[in-house]
Amino acid sequence: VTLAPTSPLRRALTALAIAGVLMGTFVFVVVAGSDVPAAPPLEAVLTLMVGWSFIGTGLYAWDRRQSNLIGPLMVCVGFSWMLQELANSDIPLVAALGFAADSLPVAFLVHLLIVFPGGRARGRLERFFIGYGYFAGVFVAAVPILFYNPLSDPDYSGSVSSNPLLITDNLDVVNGIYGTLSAVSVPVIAALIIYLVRRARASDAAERRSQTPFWWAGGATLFLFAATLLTNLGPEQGNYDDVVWYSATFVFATVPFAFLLGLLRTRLSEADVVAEENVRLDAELQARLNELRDSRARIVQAGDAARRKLERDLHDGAQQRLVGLALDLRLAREKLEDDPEAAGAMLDEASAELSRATEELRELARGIHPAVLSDRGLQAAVESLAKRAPLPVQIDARLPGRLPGPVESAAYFVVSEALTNVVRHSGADRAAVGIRRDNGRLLVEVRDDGSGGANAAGSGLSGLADRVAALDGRLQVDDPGGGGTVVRADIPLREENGARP
Amino acid sequence: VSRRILIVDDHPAFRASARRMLEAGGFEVVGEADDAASARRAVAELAPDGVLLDVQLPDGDGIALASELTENGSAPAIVLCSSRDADELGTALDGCGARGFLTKDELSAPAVRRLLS
Repeated sequence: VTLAPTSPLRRALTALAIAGVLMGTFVFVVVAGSDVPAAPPLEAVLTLMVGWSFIGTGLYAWDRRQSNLIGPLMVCVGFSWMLQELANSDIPLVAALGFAADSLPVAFLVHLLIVFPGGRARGRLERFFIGYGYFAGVFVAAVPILFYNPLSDPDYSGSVSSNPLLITDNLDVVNGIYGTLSAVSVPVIAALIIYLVRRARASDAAERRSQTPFWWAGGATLFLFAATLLTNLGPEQGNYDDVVWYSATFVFATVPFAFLLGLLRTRLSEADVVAEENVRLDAELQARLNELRDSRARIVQAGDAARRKLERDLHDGAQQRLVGLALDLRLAREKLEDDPEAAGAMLDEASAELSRATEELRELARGIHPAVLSDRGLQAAVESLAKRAPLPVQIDARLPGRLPGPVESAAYFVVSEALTNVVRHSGADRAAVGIRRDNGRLLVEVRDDGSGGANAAGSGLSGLADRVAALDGRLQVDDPGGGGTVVRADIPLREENGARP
Repeated sequence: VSRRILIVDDHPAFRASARRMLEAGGFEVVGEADDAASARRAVAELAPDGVLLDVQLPDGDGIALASELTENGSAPAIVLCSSRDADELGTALDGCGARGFLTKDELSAPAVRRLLS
């Protein structure tokens, strides 16, 4: 869903972006301008980097998936990060508020890591981690601030001298809460890291491709955060604490970029999917082309075979009879004077032979293309086939008017070949032919009550299947069981097939 | 003069007409064969003077059979015939050992006698 630039959510996101820029600028000025020794300009820059990158990436994710919690959570991480940096201010109230927000970014980050990428927590364990994160994040900072007086903290090196939120100055309470929560949080974070690693390993390849960068950055951040807690538990060790803390901050800053890298990798893998789809379509197209080429080759071969058979039939049939007749007539002519009676008998024989030759030629011509089909159409031609068939053929055809020539021919030869097969192979007592138009198609069916077992690969029928396929139709030979064979052809009556539009 | 004739052709109607024609013309038709294999046997058994041999046989080529039969010194004289024209048969007829070629409708006793003698 793409939002119109003026939609309410877009306006809210724009407002948040402006707020982020303003707050970032404010925090930068506060931190860079404070004379807190622990806040060199590096820290101010880091603050902007972490804050703005989380807010920017979060707003992008929010806009992209409006109902997903990932975007809002990232925005929260960004704002809370800038908020806790205010602890470096030399204005007491601002510094106290920043101090109170100290652990909020980690709490939001834990929530973010748990619900990434779906935006929803699943199961009690996940809800526990989230709940613990917020509890610890708020409790570890918001409660101590009520008991913390900077002036009485020997470790404190900042410039803030008072805490407006202070109720009672009790550093022991503060240290007690810190120590306890840190000691409890370290194993919880360790458990959380193990849980996230196992969950990440259970994801599939595509998920892993888009999520791995985020898991690494988030997991490393948690690990380094646990390390800072551990260093807090122990005694001060020179700048070791600072190294760990800065490392944690740097890794923290990579989380939004890891998120973006994941998106980029998803895009790339979507491109892979498109490429794979193209490969699949190419293969399908190639298969279809091969099928067409094969069927065209079979049609050409069938044409060749038909011509060879025709030559053979002419040569072996009518031509032999006519040659014999020529010899017999010549002989009869020679005998006419010496033996008129024998010559007369030979002429009678020749006459009969001539009738047979004529009948053979007629049969042959009908096989090439029946005149009744071109003159009077499919129904008449099929009726004439039925009349000549040596078994009763019942015809059920309602075909007013003429059909396109190629369709009539294909349908005729389907019926003719099917009936020939019935006579030759099926041992049937009767056959039935049904022809009807249905929804822009011609449906032809030839049924017999014979022994069945015919198949479409038989030479006569496969040639016909190609012929029907050339009209984008289908030929099907069924053996319904319980005897008999059904040959069905389904031919579209299209313009390309000679139909009038 | 060759008088004893064997007719080799796979069409019975033609064999019958040819037999009548040749017998009327003074030949003795000693046998008929309908393919190359039975033609070889008939030549061996009957030792005809001449063979009227169809070019196209179901189990082989009449021209090749003519070459094969005439390799032997005491072979019968052979007249090839076909319902096709000599043109259609190409150059295969040359040097096959046959005395000559007739299309089937040219067949007559005098024509066969002329080729055999």
